[in-house]
Amino acid sequence: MNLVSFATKNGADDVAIETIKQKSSQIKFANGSVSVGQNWLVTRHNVFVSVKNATASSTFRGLTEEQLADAVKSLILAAKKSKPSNEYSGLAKGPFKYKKVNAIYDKNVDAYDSADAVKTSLDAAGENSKTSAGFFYKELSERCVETSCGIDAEEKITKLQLSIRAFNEQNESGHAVSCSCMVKGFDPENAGRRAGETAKMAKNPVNGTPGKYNVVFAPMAIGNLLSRVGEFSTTFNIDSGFSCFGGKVGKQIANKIVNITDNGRLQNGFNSSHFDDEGVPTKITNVIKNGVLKTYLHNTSSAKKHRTKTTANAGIIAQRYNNLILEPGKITMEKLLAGVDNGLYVTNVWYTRFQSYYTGVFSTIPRDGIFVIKNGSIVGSVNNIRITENLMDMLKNISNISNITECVQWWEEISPPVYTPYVLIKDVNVTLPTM
Amino acid sequence: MNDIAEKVVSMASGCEYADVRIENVTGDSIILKNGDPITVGVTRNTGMCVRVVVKGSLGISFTNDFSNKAMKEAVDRAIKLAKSSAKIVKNPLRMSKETPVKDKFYVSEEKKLSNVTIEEKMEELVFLDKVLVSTNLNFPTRFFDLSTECREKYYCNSEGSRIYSYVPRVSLFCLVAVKSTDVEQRMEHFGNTGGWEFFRKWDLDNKLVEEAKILAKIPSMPSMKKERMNIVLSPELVGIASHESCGHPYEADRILGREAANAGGSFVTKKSIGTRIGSNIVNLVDDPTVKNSFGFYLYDDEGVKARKRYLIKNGMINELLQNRETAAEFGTKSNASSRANSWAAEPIVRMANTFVEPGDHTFDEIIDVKKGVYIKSYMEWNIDDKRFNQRYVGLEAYEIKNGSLEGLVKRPALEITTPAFWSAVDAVGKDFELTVGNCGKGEPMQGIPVGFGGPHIRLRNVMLG
Repeated sequence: MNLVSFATKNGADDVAIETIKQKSSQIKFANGSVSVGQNWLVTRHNVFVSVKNATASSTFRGLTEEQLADAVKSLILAAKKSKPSNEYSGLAKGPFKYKKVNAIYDKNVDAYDSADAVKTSLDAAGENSKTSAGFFYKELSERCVETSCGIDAEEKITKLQLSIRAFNEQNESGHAVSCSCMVKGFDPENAGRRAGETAKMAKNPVNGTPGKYNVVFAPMAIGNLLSRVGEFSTTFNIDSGFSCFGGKVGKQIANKIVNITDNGRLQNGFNSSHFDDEGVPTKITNVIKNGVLKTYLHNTSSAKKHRTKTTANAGIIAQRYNNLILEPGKITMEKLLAGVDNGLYVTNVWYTRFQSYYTGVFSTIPRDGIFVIKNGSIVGSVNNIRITENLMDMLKNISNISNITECVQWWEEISPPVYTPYVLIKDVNVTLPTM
Repeated sequence: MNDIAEKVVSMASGCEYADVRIENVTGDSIILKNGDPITVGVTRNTGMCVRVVVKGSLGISFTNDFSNKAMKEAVDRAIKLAKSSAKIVKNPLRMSKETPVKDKFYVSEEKKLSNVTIEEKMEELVFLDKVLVSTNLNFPTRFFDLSTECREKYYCNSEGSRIYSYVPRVSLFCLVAVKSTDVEQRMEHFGNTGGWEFFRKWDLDNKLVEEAKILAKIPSMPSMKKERMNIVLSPELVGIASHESCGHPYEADRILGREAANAGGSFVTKKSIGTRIGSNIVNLVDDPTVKNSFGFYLYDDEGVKARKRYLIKNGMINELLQNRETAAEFGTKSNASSRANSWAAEPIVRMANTFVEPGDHTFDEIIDVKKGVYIKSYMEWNIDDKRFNQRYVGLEAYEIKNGSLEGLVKRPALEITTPAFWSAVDAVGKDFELTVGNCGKGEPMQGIPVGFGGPHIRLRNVMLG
């Protein structure tokens, strides 16, 4: 049964159905040993319908064809009983031609040896650390988008991911990831080694000291904050009050050395695809150019509302960034660090929470290796600090960017992925518990 | 459900252990933004989780294909993955011995969720939005996300447990922003297990209007000097502190390092039980059995009967949250803390409803101090991954002078270690309130419904951050 035709025959005006068949597996490890192996064989249908501009959308999993048809009917009925949305103004009109996005599918991923990847990473981490925790994940998915506006597109995507956190003592840790769509380019050994090396460097941390610091952020750390930049750039979040970028298009929001793009077509991009959820071909969008916010991230409806063109970032209800990329600078990471007289080097942060999304006031907690820099050299390790800041101020205070980009994605702290070099930000406010 | 689950367990009969959990979830959802119905949704979600233990290695499969062939494949894949992982398992999995249970439980609904139409729900939200607009305050954002679900679950294991449950749940997330001289925002989450009757019990129109009026005043209020003082915390603040700095670090899997990669570890160790963490009037529990609470259940996702757990008793660390795997490691019994947020997720150690038990003080007695601050609500909070260093920033907060609440104050911050927080408690109120949230943990991330709260409490002589 063709669900799109079925939905239109049953009263839907616009219909978009994304079907994803996913085969994936994961090995979780802790204390240097496997704690669980998991695998998923799951099909889901993301169904969107509109009736007289009232919209309804749902994800259906585990339904027979008959049940799915019944669920779609229920969704159409829900749209009929709802009220028209001022925000919805139709789906993208296709068909489109899709240029191949390179290196997002690798038939070798299915046979890739999961246990070997874990063991390789654990061994590499073990050269410099006592124990490790993390996971290995591989995924093969077939994705199809069909709409009532002329779209019928399909693609295959593979993913390999390893995330490892190495420990000596509990306060001496390092975290690294490797993310790739292809077997070539996936490097669990390097991730393990880097996590172990950071754990070793973080030896004997002492309580930090509150104050203003020039801070070098490693990709895992700055990636966390840049992922907020990506989220805050979507029109859904701006209109919903979850962003401090409202009314800022065309305005200087970051230092002029900051150039950020969203690239849904990135070669071996960990969240690349040929088309968004409406079936629009993915593209490269300048989000911040020379520090100026150039555009929000749009789907067809939000673009019409803002009198511009879609940036191919559907979600039909809420847009999302694809692969957010901070353009590299010209200096090596070593020279970037050597240029800091009195500062900190932060390798990772977590638990970023905003006091006000409108103003950008927030705090976040550095974790894993946190190092003191004196006269360009690392002289010690600290812990228990918190960065208490304003995101808008931090973007303006970015003062240098290193020359090599890394892909970082972990948990919900950074997801979708961010591609970023090391970044130096001046005058970052650091606080500690008062007792 | 029952027949399928029985069939799958029998397919795994050669394993050391097997269990099967089948879930069927139905419901609906509405997003209303600035008066505009952004979308409505219909939930239909069915699938199965099968866990097997082979050579001390745990393998899990998830599928939503219930054909005989697919179910057999799911079992075979779980076994294969367990076997292949076994070669790098250093500590073979053991499970605490628990008595098999056969039972059914249902949460009743005065007004069944399935009998309330989308139109009725939409009308309620539109009314709520209009009530806010009628205040003539300037609202840059009014965002409501309403969802209802009815979750049927059947659990069975190779040891003989067979448990059916039906749990309806209704929840509403609100984000309201008010602009006066600046913009202040309030995020709030309401939720219960039960029927539609709870939507009315939340008294949203009065509550949200009062809060919006306060938000309009906050930007022009003074900040407080950062000095030592007495801090009175509302049930909302007590709840988040209980959840973050007591519930999480007492999760035994964190203590064992199983979630160290993402959610982190704990400052609590195996030797911490029986040691002092707070003043002797602190009694803090996690209790899944609170009727109609957001985190309610009677059996966990390993078929163990739920009960109240005293995490802190008279200021001493008393009990940890355990599933069968961690309980075996600690040489104890599971206390039914194993939860998964859907059929497509592994059960891990989770909280249910975490709260400070009420004491004997009235609110007037608690604020009867010469100088202090009363923090009623918050926006920003966080805590480190060992659950030791935390921060809560007040949203609605009042200065206390000579036993009376004076004017609003702007963003008082409490940045404090966990032992310092709980040791400073010198008064616990008679009142009690549970707030709710979706707690995140696991890989892949599992957001799970929980409650947290307590009475008003007072922290004596702590430094404002």
